Amino acid sequence: MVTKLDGDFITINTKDGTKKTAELISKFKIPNLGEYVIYKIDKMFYGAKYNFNGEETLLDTNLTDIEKKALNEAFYQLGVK
Amino acid sequence: MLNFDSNHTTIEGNLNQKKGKHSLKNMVVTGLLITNILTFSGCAKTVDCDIEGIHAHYYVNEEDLGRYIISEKSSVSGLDRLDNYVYIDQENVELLEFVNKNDLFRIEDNKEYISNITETQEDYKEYRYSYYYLIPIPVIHSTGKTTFTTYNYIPKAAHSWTSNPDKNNLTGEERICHYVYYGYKIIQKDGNYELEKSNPVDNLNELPEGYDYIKEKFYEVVDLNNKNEKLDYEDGPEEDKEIISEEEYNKSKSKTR
Repeated sequence: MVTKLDGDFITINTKDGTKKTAELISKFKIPNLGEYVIYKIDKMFYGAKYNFNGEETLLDTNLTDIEKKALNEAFYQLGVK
Repeated sequence: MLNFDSNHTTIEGNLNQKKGKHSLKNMVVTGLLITNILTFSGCAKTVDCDIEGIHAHYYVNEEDLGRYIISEKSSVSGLDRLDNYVYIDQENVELLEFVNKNDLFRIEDNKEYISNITETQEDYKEYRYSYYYLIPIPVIHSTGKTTFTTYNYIPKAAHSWTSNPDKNNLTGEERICHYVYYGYKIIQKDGNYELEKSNPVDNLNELPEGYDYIKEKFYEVVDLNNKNEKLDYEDGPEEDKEIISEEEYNKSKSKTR
């Protein structure tokens, strides 16, 4: 039967070739902007824009001020601690 | 405060198939033309709208399942209003209201939502197993002045199904759990709209012509060898049952003989 998970864990690849396990906090679409993800690694929260290209999920952290503001607002609305 | 680490380049796999720990209920960003979301219809507010003529806004749930609704409320039927809209001919107003009343969604408009669900739905095997529990039988005692209750426990055996092939007490019986899908067709009869549910199909693409709509939950799990038997329920012993081991069961049975 279907088991509901509290949340998934994801593997983040970094530029230096290492992998980090992160807790997926939330992902959501902001109309007219794109799709975004918030994840947690070692008690630190991170945000990024993402795009699945059919093989892997590309992360974009070079965000505009508006996007960063939107992500931070989303983060506070989630009430994550 | 969020961090943005440019060293993080990719996430392994398809993030769209993952589930976050929290879901976003409200998202309002000043200066952007984006969705104004209020989750509960009880809190729904009327949104200012300058569009003239009959029109319907697109409303979505958290998974982007959506339909057009003629409304200016921020939230309707658990769906949240987007600024996207279409103009509606007078003759289609009633149709759209019928669609909303019956909580239908156009397949064509919701392909991503559908594929997100169906792409993970593959047949799976379940195994029958035995479990043992005690049924409490109350016994009332009276000493003349006072009464009190004790319980005698009767051991019982029951069966259920699991997808765990290594579970204890498997009986050897197996079944294939299979997903079937339903669509809906809107028909006009005596000037009124009526809804017709399709027979179950193995794939939504197999729906006959005209079955253009689905409900939010558009599938059932059935036994592949008996598609009339729906399996979409939580199996196993109920929470309040006092489970015992097979050994205890056999011991109790021998005592009660």
